[in-house]
Amino acid sequence: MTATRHVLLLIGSPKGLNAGNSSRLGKAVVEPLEALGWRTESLHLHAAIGSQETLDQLMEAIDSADLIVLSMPLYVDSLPAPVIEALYRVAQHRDGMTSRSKPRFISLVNCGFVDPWQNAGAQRMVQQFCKRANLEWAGSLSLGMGGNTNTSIREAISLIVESAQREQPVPPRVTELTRKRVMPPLLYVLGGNHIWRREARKNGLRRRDLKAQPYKRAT
Amino acid sequence: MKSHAVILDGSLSANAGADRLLTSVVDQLDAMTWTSEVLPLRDLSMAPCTGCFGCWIVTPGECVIADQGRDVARQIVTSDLTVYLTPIQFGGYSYVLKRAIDRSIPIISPYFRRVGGEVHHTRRYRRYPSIVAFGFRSSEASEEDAIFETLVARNAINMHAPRNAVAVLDPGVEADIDRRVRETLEEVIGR
Repeated sequence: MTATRHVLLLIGSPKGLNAGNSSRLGKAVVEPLEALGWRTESLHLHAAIGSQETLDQLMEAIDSADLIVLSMPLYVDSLPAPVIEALYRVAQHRDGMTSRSKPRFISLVNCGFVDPWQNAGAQRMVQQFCKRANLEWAGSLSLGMGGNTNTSIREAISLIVESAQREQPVPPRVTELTRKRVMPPLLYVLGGNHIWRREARKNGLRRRDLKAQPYKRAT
Repeated sequence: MKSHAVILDGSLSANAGADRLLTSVVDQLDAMTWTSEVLPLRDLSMAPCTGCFGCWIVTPGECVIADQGRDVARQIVTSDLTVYLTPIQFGGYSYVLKRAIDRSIPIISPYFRRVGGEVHHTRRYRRYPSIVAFGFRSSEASEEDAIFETLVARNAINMHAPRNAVAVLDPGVEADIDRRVRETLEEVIGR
């Protein structure tokens, strides 16, 4: 009988373990693995960097995982600052520990633009982190539009789950299925701008208030 | 009125290499008759961005968190040049610098536009500072250098920087830091 495998879900969004797109996408990968008999554990990176005790828990969870899934939003072309801090601590912890187990690592990044390729730089940074932390980079999923899914993206997520179950890297087909935008850019611009105005109106703001310039420099 | 630069010092701790680089940036700007102010980010009280979009749809243009993150955003957008000074972490910025950059999104608009085949945010202000980034490392050149250069160029698009330049260096072995700093600044602010 084989030992129960352990998947660690790391959420790198300030919205935490149970809200937001990063949580939803992370669960879309680890919940099917749980149904296949994996033991799952979830940690919120923003909370993990809060104290030495929570950092120790993070290190222990990473060192004992067979698979780590990091799910996060893109922030200004990169990883959110608390995620960088957490990964920096992990890399420090695992530096030079080549004798340790080498968990596989998958990263899921979603951005607020419609173009999924805008996540490319963040994915490259996660790859560099894996090198430094002696983790085995197993592939990624990059989604635009806050990680909205369609049939192709759902198929891609299923392929990620299958590859994880077989302990193989994420197949190239995942990139093929997710490289296109889920909506034409003009439609996204018009729809997105409408949503900003609607949300601002709920807060009692007028359309022109959204263009406020509180830090306008003296001329 | 003299042109003004804000230097975002994203080093994680006091160290000789970062200090040498910072001194050089200040001196070279001074020699170019610019004023500058150094923001020692690791000493500032600044919570991380919570992704609430309050700076866009609740108090447009200003973060809802009342801490020094607001001051940093104001100083960035009222400068003529923003200098990033950071150890390179995985090809990106230090978490200390990134915290400040994450908190600077109030200076752009939530509205989307199409730019070069992609979607980005529109500007909130007429003028934005150029960006010069100095990434330092104490190891040999690696793939992280190229990732860093790409990141700065991408940030320049999103933050509406009219010009940008990048230098990656190891202050411990760089033969002539002042010359390197000066040449990098000159790429953006001229001779």
